[in-house]
Amino acid sequence: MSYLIPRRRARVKKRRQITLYLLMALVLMLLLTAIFAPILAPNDPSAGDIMQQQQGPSAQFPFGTDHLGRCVLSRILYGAMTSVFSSLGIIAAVFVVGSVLGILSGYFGGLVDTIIMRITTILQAFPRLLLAIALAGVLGVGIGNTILALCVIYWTEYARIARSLTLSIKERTYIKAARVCGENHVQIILRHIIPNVFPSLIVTATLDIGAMIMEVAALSYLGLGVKPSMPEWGSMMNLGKQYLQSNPWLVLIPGIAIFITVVIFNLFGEKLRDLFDLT
Amino acid sequence: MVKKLIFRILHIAVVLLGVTFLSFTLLHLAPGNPAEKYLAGTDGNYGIVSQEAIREQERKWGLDKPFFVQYFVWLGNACKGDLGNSYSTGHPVVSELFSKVGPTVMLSVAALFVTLLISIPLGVLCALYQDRLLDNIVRGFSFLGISLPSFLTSLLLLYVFGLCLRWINITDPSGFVGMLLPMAVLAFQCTAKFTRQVRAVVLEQMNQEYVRGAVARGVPKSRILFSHVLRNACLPIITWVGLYFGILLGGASIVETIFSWPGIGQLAVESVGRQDYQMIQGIVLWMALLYLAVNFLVDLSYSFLDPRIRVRKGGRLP
Repeated sequence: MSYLIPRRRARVKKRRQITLYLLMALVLMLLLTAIFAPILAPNDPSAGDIMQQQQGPSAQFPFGTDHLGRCVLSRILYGAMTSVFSSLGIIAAVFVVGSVLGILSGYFGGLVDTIIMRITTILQAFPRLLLAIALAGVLGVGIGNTILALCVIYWTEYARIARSLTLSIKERTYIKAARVCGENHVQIILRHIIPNVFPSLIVTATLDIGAMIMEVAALSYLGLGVKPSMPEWGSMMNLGKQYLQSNPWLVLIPGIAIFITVVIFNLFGEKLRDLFDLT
Repeated sequence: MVKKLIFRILHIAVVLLGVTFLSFTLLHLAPGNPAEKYLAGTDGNYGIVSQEAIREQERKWGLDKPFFVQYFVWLGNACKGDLGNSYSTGHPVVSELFSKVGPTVMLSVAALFVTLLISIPLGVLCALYQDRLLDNIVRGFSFLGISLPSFLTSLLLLYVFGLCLRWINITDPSGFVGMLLPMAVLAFQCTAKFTRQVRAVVLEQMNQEYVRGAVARGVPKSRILFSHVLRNACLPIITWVGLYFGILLGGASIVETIFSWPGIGQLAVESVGRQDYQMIQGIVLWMALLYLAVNFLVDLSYSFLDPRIRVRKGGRLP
């Protein structure tokens, strides 16, 4: 029977690759939707006509209008831009900052390590979302401040992962061999540590995109993320919840948009993780 | 042993100092002068307040002193249980916190309890019957749980149970019935993640050599599961319980706000809305201390649960 195993594994791998490509296409579609929101949107997302408030779906407003008579579909499309790109930006920033600090911390150890790890311990001593609320609230409403607040909180996770991976890789024989061959620290980090740390971190980052979209939306829902005039899914739900009884769609449509986006990114992240595990 | 203990206490002291410092700095991150803001009130009558009045208020609050002096004065007061007065209501921050911390802790503990009650048996079952029907169903359920934002789940529940079925009174959330929905939302979210983690840990233990050895020796399966696998899986699970408590304390803010549950989270969101920075500072500090205390207890529980740690720390086997 054992001769069957490699072929089966190859087939499973092939199937997984196909799903991964499919999900990649979906992610790409999402990104394109976000980028081309200004072209795709049928109406101006912030132009409201008070005479046409709370309308049902029509040819002009495919998803109806909100309490100010603004086109819901257009706001959803523009909201994709805000949600997706702010989350991607945050993830990219914490990924870079966290990995660099974590690798330095793990590789050099000593005082650098102690200081960086103390800072992460202190930051992680706070319940995360509460600190995000406090930071975003104190800095003031605005998408820039939200991004800043979330970055300050989330880089610690990446620093910890990068550090522990670096610590285990550092002890491998090939690193010692590289030292013996006369490579300096910079070369070792660039050629050996980073390529080995990278896969785990990229999977973590991909899996975190969905969570980050929800986090940004949550802060906006609480009225801390973006200014209410800016189209964003969380803040749309916040505005819509007063009309939950009369027009639940104002909450449901942005909610479904968040859900679908998060599902796509989460599935993509999980498939990516499975693929890395297999190889 | 003594050296280790001193090191540990020093570590806690550094963390505490850092936590208090960060909480204190938070207030100073806010744009604008707090004294001027206080005097101008919520209407934002900036420019109307005279410079003398601002200086007077600054002197009263000690804002004219250097930053670090202010910090240590504040820290001294905080140790005495005085976190200042709320900007908006004028009441002492500490008494306000005292009245709100109960409901939040109650909600978090209840949600945590439900989470453990569901996740641990379910996670173990999923590990035992890996890739079978139950495992797949649970996998789908946890995927749903991690992909649904808590405010969406909350609003859906509120809509269905509060507005359509009218089972609960959404304007008055007090008591046990009022707690059910927020608890359900929090527990749903945590269960989704926690079940997976329990499953992973149990699976990891089941693939260890000692399990194979026990099977070979003919040890009954139930015995392997309960006294070997689960005992070893205990430690990571306990660690996560501590972490989840923090997630719940933070995550409760959204759920509390939606269900008008009178806890710290709601107070935090309201205080942010009112720009009551003194209150925010107090809340952040309190929650961090609470979270630290829980994790300290988790740390302590290790040595009770795992004899190996006790031995490593220099003690003898009991």
